[in-house]
Amino acid sequence: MKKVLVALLVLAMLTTIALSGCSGKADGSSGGDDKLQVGILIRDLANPYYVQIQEGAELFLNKVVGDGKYSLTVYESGGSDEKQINDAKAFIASVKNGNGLLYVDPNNAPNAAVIADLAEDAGIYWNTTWSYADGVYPFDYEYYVLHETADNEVGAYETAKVMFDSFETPGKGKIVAVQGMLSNDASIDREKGWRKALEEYPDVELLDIQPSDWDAKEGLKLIQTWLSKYGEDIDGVLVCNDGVAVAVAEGLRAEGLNGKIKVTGFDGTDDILPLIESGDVLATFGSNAYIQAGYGLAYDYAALNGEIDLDKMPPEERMINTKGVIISTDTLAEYRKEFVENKPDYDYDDLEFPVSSYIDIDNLH
Amino acid sequence: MSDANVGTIAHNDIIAEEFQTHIRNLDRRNRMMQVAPIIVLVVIFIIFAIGAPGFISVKNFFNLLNQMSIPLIVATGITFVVLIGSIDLSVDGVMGLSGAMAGLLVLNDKTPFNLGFFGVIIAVLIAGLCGFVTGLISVKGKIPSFMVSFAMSSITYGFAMLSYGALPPIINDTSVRAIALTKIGNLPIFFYIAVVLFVVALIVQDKTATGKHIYAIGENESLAKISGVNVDKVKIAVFALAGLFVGVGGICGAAQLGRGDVSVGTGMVFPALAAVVVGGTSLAGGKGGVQRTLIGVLIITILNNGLVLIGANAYFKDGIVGIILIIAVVTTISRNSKMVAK
Repeated sequence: MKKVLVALLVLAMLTTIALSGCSGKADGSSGGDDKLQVGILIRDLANPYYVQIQEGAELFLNKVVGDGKYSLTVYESGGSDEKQINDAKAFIASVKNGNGLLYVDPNNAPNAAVIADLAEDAGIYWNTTWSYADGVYPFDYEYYVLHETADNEVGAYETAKVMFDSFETPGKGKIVAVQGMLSNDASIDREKGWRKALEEYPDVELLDIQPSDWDAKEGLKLIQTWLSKYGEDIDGVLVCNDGVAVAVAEGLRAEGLNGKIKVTGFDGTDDILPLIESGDVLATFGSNAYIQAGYGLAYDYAALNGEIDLDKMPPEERMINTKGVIISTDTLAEYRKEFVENKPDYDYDDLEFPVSSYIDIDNLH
Repeated sequence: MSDANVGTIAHNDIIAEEFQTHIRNLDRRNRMMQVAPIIVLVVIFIIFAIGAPGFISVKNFFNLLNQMSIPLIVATGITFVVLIGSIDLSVDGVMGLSGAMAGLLVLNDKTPFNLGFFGVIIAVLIAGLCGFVTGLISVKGKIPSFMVSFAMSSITYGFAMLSYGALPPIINDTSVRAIALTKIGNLPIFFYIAVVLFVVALIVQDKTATGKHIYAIGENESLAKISGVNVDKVKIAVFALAGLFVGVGGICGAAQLGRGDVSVGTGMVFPALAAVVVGGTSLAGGKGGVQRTLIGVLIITILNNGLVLIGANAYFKDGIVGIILIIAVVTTISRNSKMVAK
């Protein structure tokens, strides 16, 4: 009897792993051969930003491809480069006759190089978001359609300026900064934006800057330690993303310093909006995951259907900065109306719409 | 006396000498296991006291106590699992599930539940149940605990994500938030929770029959069984106890972030196990204890804190913790005993 019980428990465990573990199908389809297979490779759905990415993909797929005509699978790497590569292989193996699209947010930039070769060999149209690999650019590949990124540098620069201008003496204060991952393009470019703003505000002093690995708990530990070192000398905390910014704001609340020490985030996720409303967070940059996911796949889909000829597309048009918006108390109501109370309804045929600017392809890494 | 008798006596002397040498080596190893972590702690404390600006300050003292609280709760629970020679890798998922459940059961922005403290108790019991199931499957199914607990981490992580539909609940229950936000003597309530749980664990370890059975099982499971110890029962109870501790850690983490977020547990298993092992509890089981885990937690917390204060690269910090962990394992395992986690 005991053996039967144990066997049942093990079986239940393995079944649950299969159901709840590492990836999830969004439309409940069995993924028949005729359906368009769509794969999304992200870090993890514990981050609200990636929840919006999934929603953005579904908005596009339901509108353009049609409900029930696609099979969407979201793969979570959990921060593991190796797992992301294996997920890419698993997805590519599931695609029949090239009838698939792959959206990749590389865990680390070099992953994009490996996936570029895998997708090229399999003939699957795909795109990257945020990070691209050194020397691996869409215009050198047949199936690597697009690299897109919210303009990290501009967004970080703008949020930093909002913060510096908000100081008791505008343009004068001391700050600390929380990076994401050191080797991640988004993190690197956001830091560039902060430093550009710092150059323009010589009376703002950067006391310390450390990476959090995009982990809220690490961000919390950093602010706790900095508070013990610098105390209330800190006027502001520039934070790499909203998930970490929320933790930093909670760390400040525990010390009764919320609202007194200014915090900015990046991404514009739903859970930071109440904190902007309450004044615990000053501002964030809405990188608009709906645009990123929806239009990333729209480009791939257009290439798959022959609506765009990648050979004839100017190279610079295949590396774009996407539109974003500063969210602060001034713009919060408008942002909520467009992105929270309603989901954006984009014209995915207009591939120019998401473009904020083109990445300078003469100065790529 | 014949030559044969002389030869036998000489041979016996050699065996006795070898035995004494072996005992001396074991004693030396045991002393080293006890002393080495304290030396490491003192050395890093002195290094940071000299080199890290702001390390020696009242503010940072309280900050260190604050930062060590949740890791101490988790690592204390895991210590018992390591003492029986097993391992628990389910920390990340179970802690996340506990935090998520608490977030959903108390006053929050996603569900109508408002169970208050009762919701917190349910969340901790769920974590305890996870530990119980891990122990049950591992012990009764004779499956290595690392495998079962790793699977349990994945299952609980998945359940936690499914439970709140990706966007974590914001905790609006002020009594739960008070665990992190209300301070007594400059320290949050979860620090005192950590102290109470540590003392309880110390009492269980040193003053109860279960504590003695835990050591006996870790030292030699077969011998413990022959001596009449209900090995299976004790082992399953240890996993359940660890689950409860991890669950409390999850509640404190959720109270701190203000969210029932599964990420409160993400990445916690490594520092928790590192603290246990660096403190001097043997991965082979039977040696060590929660008092050593306290030293381990202090080492890891001071390292994290000091390296941030001197502005060292965060990846340097991970590297140092990894090196200390390897040294601790190398110096504390007995290479003659079986090292496969039971």
